Amino acid sequence: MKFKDSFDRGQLIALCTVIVLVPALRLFPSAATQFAGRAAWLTAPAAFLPVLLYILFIGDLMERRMEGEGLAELYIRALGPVAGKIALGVSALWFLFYGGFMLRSGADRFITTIYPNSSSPFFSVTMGILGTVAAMGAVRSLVRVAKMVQPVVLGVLLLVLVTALFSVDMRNLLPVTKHDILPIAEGGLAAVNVLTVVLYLVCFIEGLTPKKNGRVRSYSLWALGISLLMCVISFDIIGNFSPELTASLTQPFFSLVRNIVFFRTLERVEALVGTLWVFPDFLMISLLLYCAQHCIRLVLGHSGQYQGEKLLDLRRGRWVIPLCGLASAVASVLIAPNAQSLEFWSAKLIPLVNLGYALLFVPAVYLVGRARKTL
Amino acid sequence: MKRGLSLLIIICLLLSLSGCSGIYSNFRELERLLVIQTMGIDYAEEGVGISLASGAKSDGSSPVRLFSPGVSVTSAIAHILSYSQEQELFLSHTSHVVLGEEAAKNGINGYLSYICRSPNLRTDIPLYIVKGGTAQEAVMQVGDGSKGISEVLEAVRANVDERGDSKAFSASELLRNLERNGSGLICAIECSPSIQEGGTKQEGDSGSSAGTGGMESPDNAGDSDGGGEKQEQEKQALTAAAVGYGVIRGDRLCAYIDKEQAIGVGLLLNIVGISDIVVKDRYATPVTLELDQGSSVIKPVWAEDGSLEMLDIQIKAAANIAEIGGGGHFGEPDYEDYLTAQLETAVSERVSSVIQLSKTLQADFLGLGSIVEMDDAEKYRALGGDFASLLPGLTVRISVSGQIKHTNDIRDEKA
Repeated sequence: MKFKDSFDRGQLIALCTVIVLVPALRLFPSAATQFAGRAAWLTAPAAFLPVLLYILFIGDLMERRMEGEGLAELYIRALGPVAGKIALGVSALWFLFYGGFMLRSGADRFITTIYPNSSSPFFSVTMGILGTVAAMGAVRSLVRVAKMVQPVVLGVLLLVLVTALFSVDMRNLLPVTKHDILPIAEGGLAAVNVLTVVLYLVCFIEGLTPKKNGRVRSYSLWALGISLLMCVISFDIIGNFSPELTASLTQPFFSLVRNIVFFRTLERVEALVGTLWVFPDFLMISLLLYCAQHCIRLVLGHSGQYQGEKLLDLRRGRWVIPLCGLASAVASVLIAPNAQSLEFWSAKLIPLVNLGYALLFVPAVYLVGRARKTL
Repeated sequence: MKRGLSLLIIICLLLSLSGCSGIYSNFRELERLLVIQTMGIDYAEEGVGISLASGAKSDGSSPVRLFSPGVSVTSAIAHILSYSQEQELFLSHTSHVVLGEEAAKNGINGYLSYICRSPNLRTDIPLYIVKGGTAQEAVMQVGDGSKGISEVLEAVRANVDERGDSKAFSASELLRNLERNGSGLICAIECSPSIQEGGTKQEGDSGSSAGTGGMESPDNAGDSDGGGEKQEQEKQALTAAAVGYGVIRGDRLCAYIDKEQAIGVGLLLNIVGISDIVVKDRYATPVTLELDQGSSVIKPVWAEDGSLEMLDIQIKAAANIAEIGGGGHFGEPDYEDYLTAQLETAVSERVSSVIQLSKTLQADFLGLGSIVEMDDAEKYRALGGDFASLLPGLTVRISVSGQIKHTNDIRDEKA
């Protein structure tokens, strides 16, 4: 019997929710505060409108897919075999590079929150191996893991956020005036960045879900919920630390967790909370590696989908998967040898490339496909 | 295949969960850790002097106290670890940071930055400054045989929270105030001889103290003069008490606010505890009023052209009569009114002196600028942003509404 790797939209959205927490806690609070100062807690709701437009655009693009097609297959159909494969190659490179960055920044979080003075390659390579093993299996396993860990991760996050609400100082958050409108819009780009990366990544595995109406509605509600969650996250962080301190902290959320004391008894729980973020990291890296190998195998003329192969079966171009894991692990070791350069990658380079991919590359493919009447 | 993989995973798990330190490299025996609870930071020729103290031990022996200078906080801590008998210093439960006066005068930004960057320390760790002394003195000498600076500072913190005559601002609060207002407050403590009976310590009880890096505490230096022979010499134990606030402007200590004035700070910041104010009644008898409730409303008054005309500060203060010499004259008309007026005057004096200090120093340590900004952000913006420079010329109107809530006199019907 042929293995069928499939799942439904609800599971896919659970995956979106878990993986969005990685950039939402790493990038968003500091980046938004650098632009919008104390008004940064309003940047996530402000970003909802542009994100909604992006959901409409992606929704229209994915409406044009046939059963079993994901964004990678749409690239080939839209651009033709040659240009399509080039686009897939570019996408794969970006995913491997981004995967490397995720491995590096995940390792940095471990070092700054739990294991000071440790070396990052150990964490990067370990997570890279786990991600590679996951990418060699069914995507269905990933979304099931997401479905299982979602309540735990969100529960802990909400517990931290509710506890931190009691020590919020409103002077850190107000006043907000009309002069903050432009900075809020600029800071909103950070939120757009966080949400768009998830929105286009899941399109690469959407071919494994049945075509169903209501895509825009589902993703809009999801984006609304995540925008509100990000609003509360930045409200808590800025309200506790002040915008000045938030902008200078590398992991403000985990610094917030470090300060929390439960019932005057339990404190320093950041190691427990930080360890939980292994799951979002693992899912994000596995998804990136899966998407990268999927694109490369399509370029090589294979189907990128898992069809029930055994773990060590490297036929049908599956030898690409360990190479992808290796490439990301190497990238994680080579990029950002120290925390200062990681800050540059995290705050400048990666968001810029990501926005370029989300807002220029994908729409360009769509427009070419429409012009060629292949979409 | 599956069975083999499962077996392999189980074996790996058994090894990693066995507690073998060779496999799990982060393994640490609890009893080998020295849990540091207080860190002292001093200015030193080399850069910085770090003093560390653990909490009191469960067996009643003295807390461990360590000191070393270094070019930086990190190097000083590393030096302490190298030259002490401790296997590992555990800084994650550091509950207090004490700054020496010289360190604060020479700039505290570097220390605040260290605290906020460090993966070990919490950013909401309370800070103290030793008025007229060093952190080394506080950390190494405060306490008796069974208590150290950590226990004393716990008591200080509880005391200031209750009394409201100071507040232990955290590192992140101070950093925020310095960034936003250009100045901030820090809880000031003073090291002085304990008045507690039996509050003595033995000089020879320094087995738990270690001065490293060529610097020793003054007491230890005295020992070495004696040819290395330690003479048992009883001396008065030191304790630490809150004595108001230190004012940090820029990143340097520029003034102190004493305990009396600190009541004014508490009223202006709306952190009022139970403080005593001694006034005289109409017969010149001292009356101790227990101020236990109070609040302030600070309202900017804007001129028609949008400039800031003045600050209107309205204070409400309520007190009980705690003690009265001669029994009081509660039957007499206007006696209580007179006491209420005395309360209002006393509160007004304290608040005025704090405001005056803020104006003289051009230091907005009370965060008045933030209050003005909250009132009308547009007009505040038009002021140019540097609120502290406006302070000397700013008119401030203070009105106090006092209330004697309880006379504690059995003849008083209200009681």
